Amino acid sequence: MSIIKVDRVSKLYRTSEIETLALENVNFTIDKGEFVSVMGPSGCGKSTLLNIVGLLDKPTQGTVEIAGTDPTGLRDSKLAAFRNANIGFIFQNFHLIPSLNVADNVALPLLYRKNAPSGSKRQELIRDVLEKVGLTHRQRHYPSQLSGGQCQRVAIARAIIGNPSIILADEPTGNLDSKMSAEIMEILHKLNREEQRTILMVTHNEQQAAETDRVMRFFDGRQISNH
Amino acid sequence: MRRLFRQAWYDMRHQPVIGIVTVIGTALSIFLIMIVVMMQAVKVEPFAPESNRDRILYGKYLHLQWDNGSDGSSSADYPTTKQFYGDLKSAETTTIYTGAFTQPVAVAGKSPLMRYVKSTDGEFWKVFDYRFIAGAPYDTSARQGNFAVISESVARELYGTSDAVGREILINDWPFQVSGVVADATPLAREGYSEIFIPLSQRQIQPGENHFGWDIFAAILARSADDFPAIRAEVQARKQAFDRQLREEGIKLVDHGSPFTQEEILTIQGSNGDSGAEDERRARYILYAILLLVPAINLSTMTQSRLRRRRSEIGVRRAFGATRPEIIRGILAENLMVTLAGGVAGLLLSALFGYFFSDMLFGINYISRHIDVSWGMILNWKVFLTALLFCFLLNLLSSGIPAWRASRVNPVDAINSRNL
Repeated sequence: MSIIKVDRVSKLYRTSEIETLALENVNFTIDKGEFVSVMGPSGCGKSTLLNIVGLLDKPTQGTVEIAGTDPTGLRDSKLAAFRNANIGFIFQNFHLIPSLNVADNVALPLLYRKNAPSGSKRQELIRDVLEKVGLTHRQRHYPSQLSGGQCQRVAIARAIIGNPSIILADEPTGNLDSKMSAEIMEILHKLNREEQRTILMVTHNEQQAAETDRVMRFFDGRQISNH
Repeated sequence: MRRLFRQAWYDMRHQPVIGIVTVIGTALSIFLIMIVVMMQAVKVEPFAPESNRDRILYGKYLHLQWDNGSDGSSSADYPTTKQFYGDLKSAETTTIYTGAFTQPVAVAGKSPLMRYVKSTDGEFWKVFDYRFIAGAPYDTSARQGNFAVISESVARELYGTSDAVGREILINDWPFQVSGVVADATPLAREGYSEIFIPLSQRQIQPGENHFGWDIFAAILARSADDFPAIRAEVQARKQAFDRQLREEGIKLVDHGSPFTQEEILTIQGSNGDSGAEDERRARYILYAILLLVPAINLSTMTQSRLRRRRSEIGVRRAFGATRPEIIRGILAENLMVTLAGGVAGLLLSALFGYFFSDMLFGINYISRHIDVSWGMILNWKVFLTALLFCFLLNLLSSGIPAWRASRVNPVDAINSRNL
């Protein structure tokens, strides 16, 4: 059963002087529980694809269906709530909020969710997800006090605290050394394997891609392989 | 709330110059606004001995126009004042009194001092709440003429003690006996203020020429401000009857809307014009707007600058489900922490300034005395709430547009701006 369906998606960026076709007629589906890699050279449209699937950007043509819903035409508030419920993001630069400690960073998606657990239930949830990434002892630390690998673990915890079915990871190990990269990949595989979370990951690392269920390759905005 | 403080503190630590300039700018803005608020508050807010300001109407100023074209302005004489404002059914009571004038006061063997003396009837002590340190007020109905109430500082100057009841005092060379000693009043109590009080003299209560008198005024104490319309209607009916009587003498009465509220009496243009309370209120609102808008424009560039550094954070929040209104609310709330910090500093600064520079700020040109203000007069819950309201307004004006602009940013562009 497909949880992500991308149908004839194109994305054209226009400025006053130039037009850039970032994605051209892209089609694919991803089943629930799949771990799919996206590969390709810089500028081939990988991140654009992730942004469109993550409902942060809109395609110029074509449609994207997430968990059976076509979000086209949803109002900002509905779209935000849909994103909050269904999608978790992991960024290459972690993008933790420096003024918040680990626990508050992790709880960020709950701030924007109606009927989110509060008080001791919220604390319990934060502890649970931090336990999954092995960081329960760092709850009161700030991002500036953590290593890169620890920051990315916090980012993973933040991505899963709202229990989304889809995780979009944009080069999650791009800023980490090989040891930390392996640890992060191990966590992602565990989330995929044990919690059936669907993961779409952009990577430049062939070895990491090879370990996923499927690799989609892109070149100049076109999908050149999908197996 | 904890998170808002933390964010504000984080911004302060990481952009100290912008943070400090923002707090100082806010403090100065609130300081200036609160000075204007306090200057108005001491004029209209109740405090002893004018604790009843909110339920007093003042009967002052009379303007007569003769058919031959001449006219005259002054206060009415005692009988006319009494006829207009005395024994009103709709009021609790009315006092009739004179203005306060400096007169020589002395005790035997000492050089005279020039002190403010006011003549009043016995009801004065019910309308104006002077605190008696010793003795009691005089009762004009029982014993007229030779009793006086003096202030504590006058008692100390003349007798070296505040226990002066029964002592003799010469006022304008006339002997009086001290019946009571009251706590000093601030000259800011413009209507009730004086240093010495004596009963209205026989001469003062006589009819004057053409109904003009000795700066005789009336203060009508209502049971509540809700009774003002009824009191005004009752006074108006009396004036109409009086006007008919005057017309027979070839005179027309112009009252300019008397009796006046506390706010109106401050802006009345003597006995020749109407109250300018509306105009003054409008001018004050314009002043508030200027005092808010000018710093708000400057502070808004600071807010814009702080938010520029947080562009990618806003993108991340949007990615994790924050709606545009939530982004705006978050920024406004965070900014409010900084505004409140500046607001508290501005309020304290204005209170200190008001307390220590009271003569400069609240000085009254016709009473040459030091202006005493209590902390309660310049720092009370009304002033505090007003300051809070202005902080909210300033916050809205200074961060509203930057917050709105931040909420409109494209999440992808924001996340990729790499300035978290």
